[in-house]
Amino acid sequence: MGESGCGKSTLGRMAVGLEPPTGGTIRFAGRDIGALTRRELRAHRRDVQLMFQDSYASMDPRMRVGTILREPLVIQGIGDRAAQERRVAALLDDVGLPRGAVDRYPHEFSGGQRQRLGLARALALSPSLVVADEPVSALDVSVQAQILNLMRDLQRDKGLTYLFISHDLAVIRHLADTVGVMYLGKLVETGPARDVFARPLHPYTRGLLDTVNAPDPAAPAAGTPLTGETPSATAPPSGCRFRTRCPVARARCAESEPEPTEPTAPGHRVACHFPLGAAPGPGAVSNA
Amino acid sequence: MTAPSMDAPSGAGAARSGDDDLSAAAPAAPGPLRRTLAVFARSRLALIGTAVLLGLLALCYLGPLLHPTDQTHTDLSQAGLPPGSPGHLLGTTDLGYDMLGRLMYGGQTSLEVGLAAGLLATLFGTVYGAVAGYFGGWADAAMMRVTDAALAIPALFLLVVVAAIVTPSKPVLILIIASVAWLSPARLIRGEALALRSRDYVHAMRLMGGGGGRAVFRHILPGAVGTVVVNATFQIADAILYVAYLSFLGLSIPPPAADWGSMLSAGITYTQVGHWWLIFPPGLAVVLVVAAFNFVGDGLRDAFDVRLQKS
Repeated sequence: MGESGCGKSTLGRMAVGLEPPTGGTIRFAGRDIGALTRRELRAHRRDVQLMFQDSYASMDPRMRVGTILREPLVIQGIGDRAAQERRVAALLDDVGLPRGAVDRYPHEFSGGQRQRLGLARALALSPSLVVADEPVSALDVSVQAQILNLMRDLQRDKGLTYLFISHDLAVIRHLADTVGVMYLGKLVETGPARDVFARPLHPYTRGLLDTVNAPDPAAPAAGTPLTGETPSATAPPSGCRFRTRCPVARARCAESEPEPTEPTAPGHRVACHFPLGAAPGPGAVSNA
Repeated sequence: MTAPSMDAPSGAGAARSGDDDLSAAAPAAPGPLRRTLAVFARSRLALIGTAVLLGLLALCYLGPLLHPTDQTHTDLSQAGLPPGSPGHLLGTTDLGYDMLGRLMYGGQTSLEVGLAAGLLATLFGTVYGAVAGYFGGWADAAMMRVTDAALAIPALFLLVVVAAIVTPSKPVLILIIASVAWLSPARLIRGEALALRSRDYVHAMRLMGGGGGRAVFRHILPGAVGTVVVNATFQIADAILYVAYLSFLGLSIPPPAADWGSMLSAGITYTQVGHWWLIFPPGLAVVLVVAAFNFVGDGLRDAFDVRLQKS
């Protein structure tokens, strides 16, 4: 999760191999996907699929749903036509759409239905990882809940992993097991969702959580919501990228970029010189 | 934002309700071709244009069967007759050719050269533009500089120079006009291919492991077909005008062959003495055919717009 423009979608697109990383490598199941041969890459496609944010733009408006859902099977050469059609029917059952949908065009569906189709297409190749790039951000709240519950059910039934990209904390809290918080292209905090939401370590995470309005409008605003604009991602601030908006920034934050540490519990990593709620680390002492 | 209904009952069955119902019993949507034709038929101008084109084609190709005339040998005893003369409904020319017969005969040349040149230009321009747009990079830059340079020279000037160097026959005339006219479809389709290749559905297809060939033939060309067809109709109209320009300047197929442009050119000498029937019929025919092609093109442009297609 993270604000607009922090690089969430870019990370997702790199994870599926749609964009090459400008530096570093992307590893999936221990292999660098940038170094795969053409044939290996084609096979890798079966394992990792993308669910698009804009379900309408992600489907060829001139194709019927049956053709759209069959396309991944045709490209990967899986089964004959009859087998592919059976698979399409099964996929439609999985996502809760009538089988008659195969003769229709994408524009005949509502946003929620189209996102179901997007999910069905992403699942066609039985991937182990589905990168879902803000799949519900364009939907009504009630429809969002349906899609998210559907995704969770399918995750349980098919043993999927989602890389779920969102700026919506409620959605993340509902769905995620592990959370990564991004700011200006860097992961500033990662950890089990429960820990991150209950005891955020990074001031940015704290700020994000405080920015969300409480359900009760009369309740006093908790904590300190984020203020200010995100600096340019092409010319990030020196040292810690968040220091220009950070309520606890000190001189040291401008000098050096914090390395990820696990100050409270293993698996809950934070990249901050002065993590919240943690015993002052050696860095904090030397700076005080 | 909060999540009021996150704990709603889940599962496929419960999740199916909710957004608007998609009844499986409803008939399947008609195909793209039928929807395209349905939108086309809604436009009155497009239908009129189609009717005018069919009428002109019938006049030029079926007319001579009903009204055979000699368009090779002059007959000075019949020269300069006004419309309504016995056997000459539209009168005769200064050389005694029957005007109605010449209109049909000249129309064949104009329509054939225009159609062939327009289609050839569209075909070449489409392939050129699609290649440049899809592959991009330096190939695109080099190919587009060529078209930009050629477009910077006025088309009519190019036409006149080329036509003055070579002696036109029908095929030569077609090539000359196509060699100038392919530039604008090339630029148009290149832009279309650039836009289509970065569509999410092309990305989605590449994520499934599909290659460039599938991208071009299954997604980009079908996506551009509307633009291509619409542009073709305008190209044909333009090509018919180009034929008329060249003929009018005396740079077309030499007599006794005729087309609407050369008929205008020949007739204009005699407007001083009141022989209006020499210029009005071919002039009107050129205007009609060009306008009709443009109306049809406009109708097709709307028809190919998916947003206007209602099922």
